[in-house]
Amino acid sequence: MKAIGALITAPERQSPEYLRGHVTREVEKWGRAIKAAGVLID
Amino acid sequence: MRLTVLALSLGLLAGAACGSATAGDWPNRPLTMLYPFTAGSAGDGVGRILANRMAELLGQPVIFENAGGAGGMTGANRVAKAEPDGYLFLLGGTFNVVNQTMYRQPLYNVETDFVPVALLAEQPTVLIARKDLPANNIPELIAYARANSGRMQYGSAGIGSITHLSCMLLTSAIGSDVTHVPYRGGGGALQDLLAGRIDYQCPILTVALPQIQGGTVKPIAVLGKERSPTLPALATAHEQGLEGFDVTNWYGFFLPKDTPAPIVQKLHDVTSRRCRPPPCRRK
Repeated sequence: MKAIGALITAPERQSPEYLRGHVTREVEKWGRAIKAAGVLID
Repeated sequence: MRLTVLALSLGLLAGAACGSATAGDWPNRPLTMLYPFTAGSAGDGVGRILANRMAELLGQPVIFENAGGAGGMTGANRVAKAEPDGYLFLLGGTFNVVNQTMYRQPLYNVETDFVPVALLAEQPTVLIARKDLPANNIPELIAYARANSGRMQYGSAGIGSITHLSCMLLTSAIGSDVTHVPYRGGGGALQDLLAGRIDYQCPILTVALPQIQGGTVKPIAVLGKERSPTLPALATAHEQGLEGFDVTNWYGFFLPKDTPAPIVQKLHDVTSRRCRPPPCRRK
């Protein structure tokens, strides 16, 4: 993994519950940025 | 007669139980890990490394399938609409959440059409500039970009790619007018950066590493929240004054919604056993 520049997430961040929250936070973060930039694909 | 009916009913119930996917008998046939991009894309290595070891732990082959198209949307949608039996799962990531907002009519809802299984790995992006750009760090880039407002260009692997969005956020953060030049893939953008036709780009660090190590491009900052062990001397954008700046490409496993909880848990446990940091790093 290191050879391809990937960092394995720590065990406490690997749970399904953590990923659910992560997805929600990422949708919000990218959504805000993309809307601000006006990038929209049909 | 009653005994016959009872026997038939029990037989049907037994058949139904055998046909359903419980964690007890799952998996009893090969699984498919779907990565919705072409071979050689950034997440390919992550998926292939995991698939091999997971097959050993699950006792069944794990087929790694590339299914590219529409920025990952087509392949991911196949998983979203698949039978929730645990045999087809998605190697998803940043693109899932980006597509959610960027497409006018996304084919799925990343928050409700999938069951999350595990957050697997992260790859930072990096800001690299043409070799002869006068700026060597973020403060100098900000000063240079403001002095050359409207005359600079950054390249990307295409509209909506992580390389586009990373640079878009960065350009917004440095508060300057820089033109985006989308290419068909990262290769064209890199060629033009090497030729000095564009000023900077924001690829995944691994992709840029050979050029950085070869001294053909100028690394300016890691765009993740922490420095990369691969380039420990290169400071993050956050360290260089862009407080809280963090663009990290991440990967996770997802199953279709309504997948039985025991299957989700078993896939998570296998992933987790595979992904405890030391063994994964040794691989």
